[in-house]
Amino acid sequence: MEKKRGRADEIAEERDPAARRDAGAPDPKRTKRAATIVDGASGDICDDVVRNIFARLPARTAVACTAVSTHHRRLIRSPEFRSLHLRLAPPLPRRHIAYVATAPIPRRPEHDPVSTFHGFHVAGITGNKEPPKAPMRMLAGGKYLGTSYSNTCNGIVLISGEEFSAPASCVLWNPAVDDDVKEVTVPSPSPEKEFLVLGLGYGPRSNTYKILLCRKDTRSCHSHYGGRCPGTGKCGAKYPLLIYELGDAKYPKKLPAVLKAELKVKINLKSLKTLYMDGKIYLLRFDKPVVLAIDVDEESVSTIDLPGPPDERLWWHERVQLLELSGRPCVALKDDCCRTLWLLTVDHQWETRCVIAKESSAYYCDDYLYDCPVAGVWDCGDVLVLLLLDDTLYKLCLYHVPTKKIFKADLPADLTPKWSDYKVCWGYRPTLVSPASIVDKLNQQGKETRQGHSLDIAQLLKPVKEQEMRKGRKVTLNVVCFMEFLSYIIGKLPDDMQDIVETPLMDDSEYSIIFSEYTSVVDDDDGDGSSAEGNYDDCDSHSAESSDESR
Amino acid sequence: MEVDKGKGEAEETRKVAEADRDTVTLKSSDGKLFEVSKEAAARLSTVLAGMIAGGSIDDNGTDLKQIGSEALENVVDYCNKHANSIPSAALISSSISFNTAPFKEPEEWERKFVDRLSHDALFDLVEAANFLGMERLLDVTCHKISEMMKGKSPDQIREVFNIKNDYTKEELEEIRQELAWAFYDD
Repeated sequence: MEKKRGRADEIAEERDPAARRDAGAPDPKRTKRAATIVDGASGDICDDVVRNIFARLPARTAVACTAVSTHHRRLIRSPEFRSLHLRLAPPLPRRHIAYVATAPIPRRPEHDPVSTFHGFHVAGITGNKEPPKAPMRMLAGGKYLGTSYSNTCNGIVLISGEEFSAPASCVLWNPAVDDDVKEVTVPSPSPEKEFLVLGLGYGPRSNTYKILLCRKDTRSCHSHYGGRCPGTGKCGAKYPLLIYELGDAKYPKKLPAVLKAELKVKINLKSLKTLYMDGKIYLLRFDKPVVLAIDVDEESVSTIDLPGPPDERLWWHERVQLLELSGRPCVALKDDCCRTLWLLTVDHQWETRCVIAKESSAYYCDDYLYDCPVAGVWDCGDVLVLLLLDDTLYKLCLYHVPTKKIFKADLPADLTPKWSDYKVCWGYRPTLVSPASIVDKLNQQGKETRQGHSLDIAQLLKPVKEQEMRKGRKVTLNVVCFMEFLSYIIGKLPDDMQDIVETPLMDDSEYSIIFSEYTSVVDDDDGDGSSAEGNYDDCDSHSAESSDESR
Repeated sequence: MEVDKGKGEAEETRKVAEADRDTVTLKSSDGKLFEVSKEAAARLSTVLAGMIAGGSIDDNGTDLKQIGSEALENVVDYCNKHANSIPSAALISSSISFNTAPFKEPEEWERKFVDRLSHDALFDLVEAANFLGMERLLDVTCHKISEMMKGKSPDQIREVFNIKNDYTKEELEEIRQELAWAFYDD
């Protein structure tokens, strides 16, 4: 090695400077390299390589790199780069919270809202640095009235209406890039067939984005004429699921395809939320204890039974929702003895991750923890952070996986936002995918000119919009503070577990957040999170196994 | 003409050569010769595979005018290390599905391999890998460079790549406002 390098150096010195540059050998004068890069593709580092390097950067750094030079800006904004980045970019660090804070904006206080504000944030990606003051991106305007967050897929956030409509429209939004949002209208065969947009998915094999919909046939719902009513009850309307492919240039008016699954309308369809993950859209049914997994490529539906005894009464009124834990769908279900956090594995098996037993304390009745629906869960290595929210109760739990101990703290109501004020974007991963390119695959280059046209109107409406943005940011400030608080705790775990549990997080005259152990006082010494009764043992030993495996 | 073999790998290279009695001689832009196993070259580089299949390999040294001797030494070194450390055919299949497969993290030895390189040597190697169509080496080197860029401000990135800023102050300010979230911590 030494010998060889010596020789190479000698030769390098013998060479004249021009030959050296051609050879691409180590160049002591870095300016030379710079000159060739600025010249563009003809330089030492060709655009292919630059693209390949930049595509491996986190979305935030890649976006910031548009400020490097005009050449790099063009490069980063090109469709080729965006698809390369989608494949190569690293995911967000696990300990982050991506969320949409939503607020209705009235023209004057006490009036009906005229507009809706959506602010997209990611809390906890900055590490120890100053938290971001501003959201990544905001939307506001009358056209967003009555819309809410549906799901996210490849960095695209889907905002859609909360009511059935024909035709149905929704908005694709990538908060990481400065593209305008893209509206999508799903064509309906007739005004009587109304749609509700449920979620967005991506099929990696077919490279297509599709929207999952639910259809209501108002004719069969409101009357029996024409024999259309399926006859399954007084109003036996069924709600078939459909899938609509975006960006199909050949058939722009193609109608959504019907999937082999339908919902019954026992519950409020508004609360249906979907989760996109690895080519599948997951949907928690409320009329049956099952999760549907819709394969976006194949447009097929698999039905996955929820774990545990299917006692609907216990959970289906609740705000059970699909969450994400360690990159997989997860759901927290309550049964007679405990509330269990289940993780759905790739081969559609359920794994226990955490068990909150019903009774906890021998001294006072503290059923609340078990009663609270789980609104969020974050994996911090040896510790799971659980956020339990009901309308009036807000609890933060730390579940120490090795000892299965649970520590809980009550959160002051002033600090905690309302359930409807925000949605956590489970499974968010930032990308540079442009909404316009999804909807309009062929015409993605024409964007700049269209922007030019609408500039005048945009200028006129700017003050109104800015005012709505300001109002929205002000109203959603409590959500932002709350999420920053959560991400602060998440960022400290698992290393500072002792500190967090032992010292009050906040302790002044008004607020105090103090953790206490949830386990029963009687059972303290066995270090087993469950309390007392024998019928919990099953749940707990199960949980021990699976958490050991996952370590 | 001297035959130059990579470092301590000389012996190993010979072993590989003896095993299939088949090596390829590559010639750098400055006329230095390197020997590498034909099997490894064909497996790791689409360009060399094409040349081997097409019979355009010169026994006296195949000219690679675009690659300097140090970069070529690193390429050969990488091929040898690769041949020694990973016996599997899995890599062949992974290079076929390269366009859809997600990026596989560098192995420990690959990490060490790029970590010891100087800034300029790394940039030369990335170009050589690109020129020779060595997807995995390109992956590993690009990954390393991107790691060097992570968390850096545009100013710092310009410095790493030595890029000239051709924006006006106003244009830059506009970009910073438009993409405020990407810039908040500098």
